[in-house]
Amino acid sequence: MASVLELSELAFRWPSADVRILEIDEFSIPRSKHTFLMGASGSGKSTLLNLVSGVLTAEHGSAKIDGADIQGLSSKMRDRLRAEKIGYIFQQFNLIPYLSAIENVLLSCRFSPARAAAAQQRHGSQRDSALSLLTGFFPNQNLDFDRAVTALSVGQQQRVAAARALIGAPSLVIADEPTSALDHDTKARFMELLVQESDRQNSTLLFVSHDPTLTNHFHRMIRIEDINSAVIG
Amino acid sequence: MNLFHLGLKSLWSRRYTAILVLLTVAISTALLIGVERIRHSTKSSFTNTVSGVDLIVGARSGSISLLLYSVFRLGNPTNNITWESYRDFAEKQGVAWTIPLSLGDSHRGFRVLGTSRDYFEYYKIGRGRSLVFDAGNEFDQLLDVVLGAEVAEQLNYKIGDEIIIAHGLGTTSFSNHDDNPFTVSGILARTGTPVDRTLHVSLEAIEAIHVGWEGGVKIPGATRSVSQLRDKDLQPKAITAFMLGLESRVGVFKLQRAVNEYREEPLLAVLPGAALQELWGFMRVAENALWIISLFVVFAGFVGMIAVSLAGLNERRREIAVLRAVGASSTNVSALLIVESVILTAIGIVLGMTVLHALVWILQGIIETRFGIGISNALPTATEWKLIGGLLLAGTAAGTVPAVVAYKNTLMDGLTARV
Repeated sequence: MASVLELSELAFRWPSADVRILEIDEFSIPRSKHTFLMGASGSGKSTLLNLVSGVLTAEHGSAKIDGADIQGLSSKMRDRLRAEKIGYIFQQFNLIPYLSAIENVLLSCRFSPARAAAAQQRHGSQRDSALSLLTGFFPNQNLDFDRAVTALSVGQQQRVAAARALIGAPSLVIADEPTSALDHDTKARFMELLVQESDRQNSTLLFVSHDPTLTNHFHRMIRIEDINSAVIG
Repeated sequence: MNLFHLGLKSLWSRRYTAILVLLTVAISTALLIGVERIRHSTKSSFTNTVSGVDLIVGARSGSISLLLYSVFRLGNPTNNITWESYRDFAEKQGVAWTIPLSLGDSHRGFRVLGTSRDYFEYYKIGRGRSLVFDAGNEFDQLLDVVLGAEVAEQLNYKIGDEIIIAHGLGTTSFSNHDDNPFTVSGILARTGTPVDRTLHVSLEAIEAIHVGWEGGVKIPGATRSVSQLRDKDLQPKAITAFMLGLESRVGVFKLQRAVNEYREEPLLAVLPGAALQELWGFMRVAENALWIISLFVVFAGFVGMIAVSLAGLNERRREIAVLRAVGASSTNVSALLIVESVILTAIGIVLGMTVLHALVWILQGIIETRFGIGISNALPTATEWKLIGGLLLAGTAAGTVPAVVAYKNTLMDGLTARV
């Protein structure tokens, strides 16, 4: 089975630093194998995610998404690859406050023609695709998605963010502790919906968290300490 | 949704700050374009003070001094010129007309000008505009006076009113030609030039009211009644200056040289256009000062805009991280900030121009009456369009500062902005 993410000999250190903060020999995520990456803060999680999304440049090594090495590309091509292949969910403050829920979801299509085309092909129009995802994330709820997102609760905002990450079916969805600000019930519901919608879109989840109670939603669990051989601390 | 829409929505979400920035830009625009318009109007009002006159001739002094006292009624002539010299040139071949000018008396702070009826025919303002009477006619009787518009308005004079002319200049005079009061025969329409502030009488009248005066002092018992005066020979011995027009302008330099080399007495002839330009050159210092001040206001405005934008940038790090995560490049983020700046500047310019037009519309009349400067409320001139273009460029440049900072932030923050 082809890997959606494949890291090889990946190393990173800040330009002024003496020691590396990340060093991964081999790591891959097979397609459709939702992966839970657990690590305490300071374990190099953020650095890894920034390397995978091509925002940081590695000292050496490769990070292939769907076979394309994002680290080997120019910064312009990295932005393009990120827009096309990766959906990203932050811990919180995921949404642009001055856009509506629909507009926030459609933002992903704005920067990726491929995802815009995929969304359109699937549901007839980008807007319908966004609406379908949002309805999936808000089952049995009659919400006005054209309203300002500031009126939404934190849990609702995270669902909109997840819909944005999934529109146009990107290969990889990175979720960086998206549930840390949610209470127990909301958290469980969010996880169910996230996995369900990811499956529906054929997107593979890379879920980063330090919360071990969430592992049961995933096909496999990896500790970052086990793959990062850099000395930290 | 393109960057323009995104910028517009982003600005709307920060509308209170945006409105303040908008006002700064609007004030800068109104000031810069306003100063330019005043400068332009002042210059054209100034150069329009006199036209159609080919040469102004006076006693030898300086061209500016001659222009000041003959046209602007400012300062005093160094000397008079004799009637004979005046006639000599007036009768020269090729001279179409002359306007003699005799200054020295005043009425409640306004200058009295002794001249001939030709003044009303040949003296032109603006682009060849003749003097027009609002009421009454030229002076006909010996002691008739024609008032400039402002004189009539300020002193509230009507046709038929009697006024007394003071000897010498100044608002208050103890030496009056009170034995020979003048009657208002005409009131000129407003011109926006020194003509408005002048009382016009005939040369003979000037001569008549000085009968019985020696060395600027009235000799008791030596003054005459009007009928006695009429019988006297009232041809003046000297005048202050004269203006002349030629049949063909080709001969103007030749005649100017002839005047300047006149052997009978030292005379000076100036071309009004050239002298006005020279005089305007002196004003350029004030003009430039005004200009520099308004440029500084514009500069301060845009520095303020940069400051507001930079201060807001920290709060927007999350927003920028989200944009980066969905695939926006660092360049996209920078472009968004520049677009916002351009939108603000463009709306600010439109607002500023609207305010300026409204102000001009309201104040036009007052400025025209008080200062004699007609400010046009027309669409922007070519120069003004250039300035507007400059403002838009400056706004774009002001946007690049936060854009560059945001660009650096995106490289530093990655997708994990710390707030």
